[in-house]
Amino acid sequence: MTIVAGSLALAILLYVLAVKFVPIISVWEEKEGLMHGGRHE
Amino acid sequence: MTNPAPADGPQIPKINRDLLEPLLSTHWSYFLLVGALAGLVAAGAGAWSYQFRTGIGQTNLHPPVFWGVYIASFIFWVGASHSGTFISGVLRLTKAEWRRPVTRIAELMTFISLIIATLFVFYHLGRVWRWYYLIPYPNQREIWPNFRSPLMWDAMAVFTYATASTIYLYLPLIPDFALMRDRIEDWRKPLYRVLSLGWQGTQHQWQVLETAMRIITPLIVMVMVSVHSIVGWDFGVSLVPAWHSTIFAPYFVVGAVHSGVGLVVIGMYILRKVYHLEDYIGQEHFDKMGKLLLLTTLGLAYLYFAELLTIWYGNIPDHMWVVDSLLSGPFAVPFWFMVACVYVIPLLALTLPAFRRRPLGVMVIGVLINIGMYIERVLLIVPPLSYPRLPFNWDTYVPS
Repeated sequence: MTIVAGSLALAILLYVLAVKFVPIISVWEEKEGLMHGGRHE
Repeated sequence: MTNPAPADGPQIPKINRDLLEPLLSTHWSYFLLVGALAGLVAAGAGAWSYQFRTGIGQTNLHPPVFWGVYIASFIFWVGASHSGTFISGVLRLTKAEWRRPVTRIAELMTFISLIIATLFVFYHLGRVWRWYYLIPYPNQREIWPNFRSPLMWDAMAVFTYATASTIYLYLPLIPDFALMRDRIEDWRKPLYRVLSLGWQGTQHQWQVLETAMRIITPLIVMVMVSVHSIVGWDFGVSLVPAWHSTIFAPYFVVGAVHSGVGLVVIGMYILRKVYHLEDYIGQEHFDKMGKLLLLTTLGLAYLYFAELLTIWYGNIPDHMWVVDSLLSGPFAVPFWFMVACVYVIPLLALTLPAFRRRPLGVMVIGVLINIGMYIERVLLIVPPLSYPRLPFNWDTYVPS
């Protein structure tokens, strides 16, 4: 079970590292959403 | 897809600031979390190294239970990878506008889940240095690889899906890589310069990106359905009691989407809370995700009921031993706990509109669904293998 737990930790670790490398919400898609009547007042 | 450049207005700087903030500033607790996770990963790597030296028997795998938590985890993580494809691909195809803040969260989950799922194939191999037998090279001499082996099918399916989902993650990232190339002035800048492929946001580039997305989106949805169907066939083509069923492919696909959507809800809640993204991920997004979870709960419950009903009606003793072990035998406690987590609680909670608009509540349902789905994957494997057709061979399995 240590391998299973370590793999879960690896998944979370990779996600946590990815957050520092790519915007977690697509910036251009949010801007495009504004043109379609989005909100961010 | 339209060129968002002309939409310049007072909201654009706020979007840039809010969404790039997680990349620009780091709290000390982030490093603490990374350190703790790295420690757990190192412990897992140590255990894998021990398994190399002592053999896969250390995991308590033994006849008749030749598949255990590794295969259960493989199925679970392949299922989790359906989150991005379903949320992003299907919603993009149906032009659901509310998908926008959720797609990247889900696509990243797909990519990372596939890495983890692939690792479980290697763990399960035991003698991992012979992994190259899984590569589908031409075998005119009729030697290995064995194309009749489900492990071989899994390798082909997962590598195809991993390739497609990497492209699917990367394409919509190009404009964002270009934005970061222009705004971030640290060690990451050269990397963003390479990854942005010279993106300048011209009309032609947007048209090319739009065409590429129109091609890859339906393809990735088809690959998503096929990949978990193949995982379902691993079981369906065998003669093991309670596995020899034609319903496994749709059952696996719907189950995968069920746990995948649950995982995305967990990610949405945590990221919204940590990075204060309430202006982007609102209650309506949790409401919509809650409705999706309700849909998958109903679909999965129907398939699971149909599977159990046909076994019960057929009343074949070999199959009934397995079903009895789940309903009232040694696996009854985890089975009924799984039923509560995956079907009963989500169904009762998510039918209430007021509940679906509570982010914490929907996130808790996502956690319960994923705990339940993992147990379901273990119960799918261990009880049928514990009760083979010849009773003298019955045995049980507890992972080490």
